[in-house]
Amino acid sequence: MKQVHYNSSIECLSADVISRKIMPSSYMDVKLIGKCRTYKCSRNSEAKILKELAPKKAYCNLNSALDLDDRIEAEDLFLAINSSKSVKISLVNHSGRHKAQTFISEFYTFAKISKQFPNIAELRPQKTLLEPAEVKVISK
Amino acid sequence: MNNKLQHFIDKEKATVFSQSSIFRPLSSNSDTFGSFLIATTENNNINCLQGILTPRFRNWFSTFSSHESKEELYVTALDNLLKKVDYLHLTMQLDQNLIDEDEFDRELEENEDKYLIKINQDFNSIDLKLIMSITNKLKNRKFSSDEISEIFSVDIDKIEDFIDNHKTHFLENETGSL
Repeated sequence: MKQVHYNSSIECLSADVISRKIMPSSYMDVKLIGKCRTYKCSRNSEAKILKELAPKKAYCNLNSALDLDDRIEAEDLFLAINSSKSVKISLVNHSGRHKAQTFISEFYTFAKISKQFPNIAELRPQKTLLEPAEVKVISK
Repeated sequence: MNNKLQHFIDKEKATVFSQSSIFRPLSSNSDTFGSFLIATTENNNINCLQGILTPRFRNWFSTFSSHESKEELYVTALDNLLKKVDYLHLTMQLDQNLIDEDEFDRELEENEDKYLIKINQDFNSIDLKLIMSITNKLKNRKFSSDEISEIFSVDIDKIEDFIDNHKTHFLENETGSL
């Protein structure tokens, strides 16, 4: 299933991320996940689930997509990866004209749409982030 | 004493206790903001004055209080931005092969406080209003909720909730500050 609206998110153990520009952002202690490396993907970005969470329960947002091959596509994405290792970003030919940057995360990954495509109408009301009540710990 | 204080207080809402030992703690939440208890000694007597500040002085003290909170937010923002810069410098060193991955990971682990941005769970709606008033002052920049979370150490869900609850207000004030 593909999601394109603001605040749509995926959570998984491995994700395929592709974007025109992927920038490391910060090292953050994210609630319920732990220490994460965050990335910002801009200018046409997508993230697809390659490996589902086990057990398949959301840690960050109860509205997250969790199934294999679920994906989000947007102008900008925010990513938090629960890993002490940095990801290897590589350059690929994405379309006839444009190159893109890509990586595959191999740890818990939370990806969220922070800016949807301008040609897509906004949802009314917009999607919300729904925090799970239970506190969980993810082992690296 | 009373002559001097009468400029500050709302006379109708004030109670004077002379030679009294009644000291009631006043809570500092927003509902009772502006309440006060003043004790002075005069001619071997203790005078206690309890009441509510006049609207003019209530606004005055409220401004002081918000300046203090804003200063804390500025310090947090500066600290987090420096952490982010340090982290990006480290990442750049890795990209340029000046350090290898092991050195990068070791540096992060050993000097975690220098790089790790911690989320503060104690933010209330007043703090979030102040954050919005600060970010609105940067006219040429629109902040996403994850940027605000990163800069001010606020939980991202709280920002989203706050924006949802104050959407009408933001739309009305889109060009001005709060």
